[in-house]
Amino acid sequence: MTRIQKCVLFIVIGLILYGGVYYTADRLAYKNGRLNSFHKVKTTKQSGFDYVILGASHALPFGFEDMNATLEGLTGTRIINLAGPGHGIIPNILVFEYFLKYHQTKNVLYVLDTFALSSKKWNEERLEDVKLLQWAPFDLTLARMLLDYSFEKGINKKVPLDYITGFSKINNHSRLEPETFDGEKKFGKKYRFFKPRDKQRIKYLYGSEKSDALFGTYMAIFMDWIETIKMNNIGVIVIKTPIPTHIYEMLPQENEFNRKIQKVLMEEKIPFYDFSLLNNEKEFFYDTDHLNSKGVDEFFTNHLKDVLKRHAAPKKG
Amino acid sequence: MLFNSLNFFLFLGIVLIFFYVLPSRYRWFWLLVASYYFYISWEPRNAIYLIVATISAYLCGLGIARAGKKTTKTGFLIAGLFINLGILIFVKYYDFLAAQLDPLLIKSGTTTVESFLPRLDLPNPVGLSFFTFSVVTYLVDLYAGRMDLARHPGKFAVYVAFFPKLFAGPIERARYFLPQMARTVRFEEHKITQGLQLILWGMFKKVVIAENLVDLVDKSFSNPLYTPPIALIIGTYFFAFQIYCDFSGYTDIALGVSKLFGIDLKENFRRSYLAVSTAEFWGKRWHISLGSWFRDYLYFPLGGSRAGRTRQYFNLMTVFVVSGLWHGGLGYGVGWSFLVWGALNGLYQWVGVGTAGLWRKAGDRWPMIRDSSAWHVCRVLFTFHLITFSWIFFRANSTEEAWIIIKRISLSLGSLPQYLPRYPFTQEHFTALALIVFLIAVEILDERRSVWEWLNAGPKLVRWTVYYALIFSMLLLGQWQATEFIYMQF
Repeated sequence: MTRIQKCVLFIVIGLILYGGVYYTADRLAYKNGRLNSFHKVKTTKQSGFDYVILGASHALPFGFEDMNATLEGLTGTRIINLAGPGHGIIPNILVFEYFLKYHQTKNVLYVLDTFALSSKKWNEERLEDVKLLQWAPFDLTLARMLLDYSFEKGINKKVPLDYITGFSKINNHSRLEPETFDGEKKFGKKYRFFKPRDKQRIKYLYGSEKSDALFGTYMAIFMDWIETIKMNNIGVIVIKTPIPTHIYEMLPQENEFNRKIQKVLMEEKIPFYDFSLLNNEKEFFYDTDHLNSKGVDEFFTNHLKDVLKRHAAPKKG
Repeated sequence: MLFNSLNFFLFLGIVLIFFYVLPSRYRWFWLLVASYYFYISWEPRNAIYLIVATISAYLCGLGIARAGKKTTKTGFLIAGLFINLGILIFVKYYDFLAAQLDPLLIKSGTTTVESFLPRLDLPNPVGLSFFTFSVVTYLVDLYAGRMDLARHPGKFAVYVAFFPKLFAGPIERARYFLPQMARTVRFEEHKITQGLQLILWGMFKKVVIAENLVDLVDKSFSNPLYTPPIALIIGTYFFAFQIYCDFSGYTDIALGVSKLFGIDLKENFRRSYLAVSTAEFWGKRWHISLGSWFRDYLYFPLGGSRAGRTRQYFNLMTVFVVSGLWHGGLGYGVGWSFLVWGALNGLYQWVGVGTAGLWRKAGDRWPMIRDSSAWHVCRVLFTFHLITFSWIFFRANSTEEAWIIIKRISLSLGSLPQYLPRYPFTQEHFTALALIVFLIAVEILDERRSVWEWLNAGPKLVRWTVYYALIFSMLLLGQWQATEFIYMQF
């Protein structure tokens, strides 16, 4: 056998083995994926919803344990929670576009965070986190979308490459266990606030990057997207979730950004509910800024239920 | 660009193809361009350090070679050393020393300002120590007449910046490297195979073993006061293997990549934890190129062992203390704990030299014991534990924390059998342990006969199975969130 033939044979055997490993990893992602947004879109059988919940980790507790079913029971609506940890505007748009390829919804409940409008870390760069693709089953539609995003929206080319080669799935060290999110393990607990940790959290979310220009850019992308989905007769409601008062006060330029958001949304007649300082007793949190099970229960009963019911009702005229 | 990244392998593929396509006389230029691109891809502005080191060493080298008088030669040597070692010391230690001096200045009444000495927060030029040491070897060897002048400035620049060794060595001697640059390199299958095998094994050690130990080690050392003693013991043992696999993994990749270009770099690690004494560990098995650098350019000039026993002790301690100071900044900050680490290893050498005669006599009296395998194993284990103990000072965040770790471990030794079965071991612990056992098994086999040699002589089926097993274990078990190699950080 010549040198070239040996090389080709080695590569062919390697590719066959890779194919087998890829297939197994993809099956495991199907089986053990649970909270991943792409996984939910791909595996959910139901096609029509009243609400799609989008947002970052503050919206995740709405889907922990049986909370989604509770909210559906309280409001009499069908809801799917597609929020993801650290998801800024761009990851949420991608997830929602992917959702629309297979399903429909009447409304979007967007849980907005100002940090998600302030940095590339939570937008273009967020998709580079291998954890997002570890549980995403292979789908040609998503592969194509990721390629488009990489060419048109500045997403790193490694993202579609990773997804297409299945690298993150193959390399997923938790492949044999059901997908978990750290916050879910603490969901039933009450948090003991500790100032250095609070500061650390704010630093993590906002970093050193506080750019008005970026805020403007992401806000514009957000509003363009709202415009597009409104044209498809999908309603949009924007909310901000409760947050402990002392944490709220530590957030950089939060009031200023809130005013800007409110102004823009009002101009477009998008309902905006700021629950930041409601339902925010310290005992309602499992960490610095995420609602625990008691907090979510109270929030659903006292606030969110009415909002969802109101907007789900058929519009007059 | 890290060795354990996709970008590096794309880069390597392109550089390699053009290297073999280009006529031999242009290859040095291609390697120089590739090496500078490699360095600049990390942090462009730091290339200035590389340029200054190269130009200053080349010009001082010319001065040394052309000077007629000995004093002029010495002047050029001192100038070259002053520029290069001066930059290294200044960049690495200025802020640390300023922080140490400020309280003393306040105490002495010189100032009342807390940060009287300005902090420069200088950039951390990756690989600075390594290319500085390379130019020092060139200047000293040239001065001592151990080598001829490097006449070709371009090839000399490749010697300083050659990308496989640029970030973390080995610290190559110009007198071995430059003659290889003069040879015409042909595409030789066995060399390419050897290179790829080294890369594969190096990647496995870094991505699968070292990276899977990082979290377990970091957790243990992050807050030793509140970490259970068992976790501290586990963390200490795991760190010994983490640093070994990280650094020797880097070196294997460097050696392998270099072989692809027809250049042989010096072996830098030789199954380090199978050493039977700390002298053997430092002299012949761990970071050999640094050990021999200190031997040739510090220990011998100080008089080595020929200037009397007292002077030998002093020289040994000087070498290890300087080595300790040099290690400060390797990813764990610059601190006094590195000085303690160096001094402790110096102390090991003192005890070794001081008791050598005693051991010889005992060995002559009981040759059966001396030559037995059991005694050999005991010596290996004892040496391993001495070295692992010293790593505590290397890895701990400060000298105080190192003492806390030692104190807590020693106080808990009696109750270990009681607590060990109740410790919440996780899947990660068992995976890490299995990987370490695998590594030790391979190293023991390798000690008798090179595993690659053995595989190369055997059937292709076995060899290919090993290749696939290593590649797929990297895919399945590797941690690919490319982190820096420990020794790259200075």
